[in-house]
Amino acid sequence: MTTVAEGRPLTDVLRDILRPYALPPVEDVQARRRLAGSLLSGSLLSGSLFSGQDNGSSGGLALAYAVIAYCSSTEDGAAEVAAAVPDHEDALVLDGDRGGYVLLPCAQDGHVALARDLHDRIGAEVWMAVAWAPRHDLATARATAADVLRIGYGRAPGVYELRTVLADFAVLRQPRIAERLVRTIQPVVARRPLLDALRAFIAEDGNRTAAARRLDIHRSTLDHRLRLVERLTGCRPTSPRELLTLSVALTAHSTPQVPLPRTG
Amino acid sequence: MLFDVGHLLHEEFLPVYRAAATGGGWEDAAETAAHRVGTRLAAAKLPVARVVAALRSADRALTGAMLDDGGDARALAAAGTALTAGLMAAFFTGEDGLADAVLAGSAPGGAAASYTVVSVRGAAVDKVVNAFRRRGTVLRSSSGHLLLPVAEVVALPLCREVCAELGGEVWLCVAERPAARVPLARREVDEVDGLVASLGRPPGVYRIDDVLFESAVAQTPEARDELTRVVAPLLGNAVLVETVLALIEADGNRAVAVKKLFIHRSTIDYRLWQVEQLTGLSPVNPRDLAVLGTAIGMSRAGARG
Repeated sequence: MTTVAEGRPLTDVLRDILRPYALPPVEDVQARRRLAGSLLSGSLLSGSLFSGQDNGSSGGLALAYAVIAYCSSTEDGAAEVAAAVPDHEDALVLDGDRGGYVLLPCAQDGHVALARDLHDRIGAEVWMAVAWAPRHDLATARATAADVLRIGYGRAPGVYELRTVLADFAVLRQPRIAERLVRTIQPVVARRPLLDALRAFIAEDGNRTAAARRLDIHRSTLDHRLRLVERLTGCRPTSPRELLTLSVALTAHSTPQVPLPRTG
Repeated sequence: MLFDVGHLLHEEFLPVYRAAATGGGWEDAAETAAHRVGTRLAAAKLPVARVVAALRSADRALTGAMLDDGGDARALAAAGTALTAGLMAAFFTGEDGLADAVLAGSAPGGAAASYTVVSVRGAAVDKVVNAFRRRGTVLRSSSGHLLLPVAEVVALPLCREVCAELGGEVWLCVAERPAARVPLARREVDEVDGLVASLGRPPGVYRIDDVLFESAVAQTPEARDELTRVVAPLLGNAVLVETVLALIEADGNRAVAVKKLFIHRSTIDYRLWQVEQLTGLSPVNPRDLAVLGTAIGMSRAGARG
């Protein structure tokens, strides 16, 4: 059992086994962080010992949660998120220096609205990724939210969910395919003006006029650069399908690591 | 294995000689029959002298019979030569056994360093094999996959030529691997072919690059499940599905899609707004539009498969 490996006294471990779902009081921040970590890593509920007790009604833990992974470019931004989490007995936070996880009790399909609501209450530049899962599957939701956050972190600050970055997510999870895409996009990445043109075109949702304005170049210059992108990659940026491929290739080429705390 | 070589040759070659005698097209049939018989005789490990003797007597007997019926002597001679050449080529390479061995991952000595595996859909494998054989070496496996002992970059233009030559609805999918890892290439072409079929892509030559995103989604359970959830509310509405597909075909250009659908601009705007309400993805955003198209295609794949 991981708790024993962490060197906690046996009495603590036994208390956890006997009362696995008892929520520590709101003031006991450390215990609540530990609980959040165990839930997110799946170590709390993975044992067969607990599955029999997982009847959904036990001591304070909700049946299902919205898992929000968040990060900010500054420590103040991250602290603002932790502070904005409702001071509710059911909300659990596992915070780190510049990012963390928030667990909010949540019914299915309500998670995106919850995350948006939280995001709206924060002034700083913050990226959030939200996934929903029943209590026994929070480790999967955490992994999904963390990967979605990695993809969103390369874009504008905001709330991201799996469906808005589906293609990038799938490719990120398939390294063999990611490698092929990286090879495809390499010649564009090596030429700064082309890379900028493609990025602007993607950021403006395929609107050439807006992309040219964003780069402060003439529209025909942009068109020329996009044609060069096509010649180098075989993908035509004006086709939705092929633009998606190019966009995913850029994600595969450089997906940042995000500063999330360890959960295990 | 014991069998009557003379009888086999007579039975297999008779239709070819008959076609040649009456001035019909016999070339494709000759290539196929010669290859089939040649590999069968090679598998039976017959001595070459016996094969040659049987070929000579079969040719003499069949030519004689056709000439008696007033057949075209020149065409009969050409057919006899083509059959003999094709049979002996197949007899000496024994290539069918090689193809199956390489596909199973146990490439024997004498195999090429790497192979491009080709899957065939929409055309008789015999015709495709013959078209490739005219352009170089091709091995045919019992599973219907073809093996070209060349790199994918060389195989691609060959495949496009073959597709163009055969015309009609033919799908070829290709993947290259070193000889020892050909089973992976086979799995890849089968996967690509399955996706191309279910996504309703037009006839042509495909490789994994053409369905990379779909393949990644198919292999990632979380993404696959999410895609199913995204598209589920849309599938009940045929009009919205048709609108999304038309917009993709128009490269996201609403003015073009409107003409194709014979609807008013404000109608399409309303429909696209509905799609966004139902799926959470905005068809006005090209990337979301592409994801919606894939979701529709893959849901059809699921329904069919």
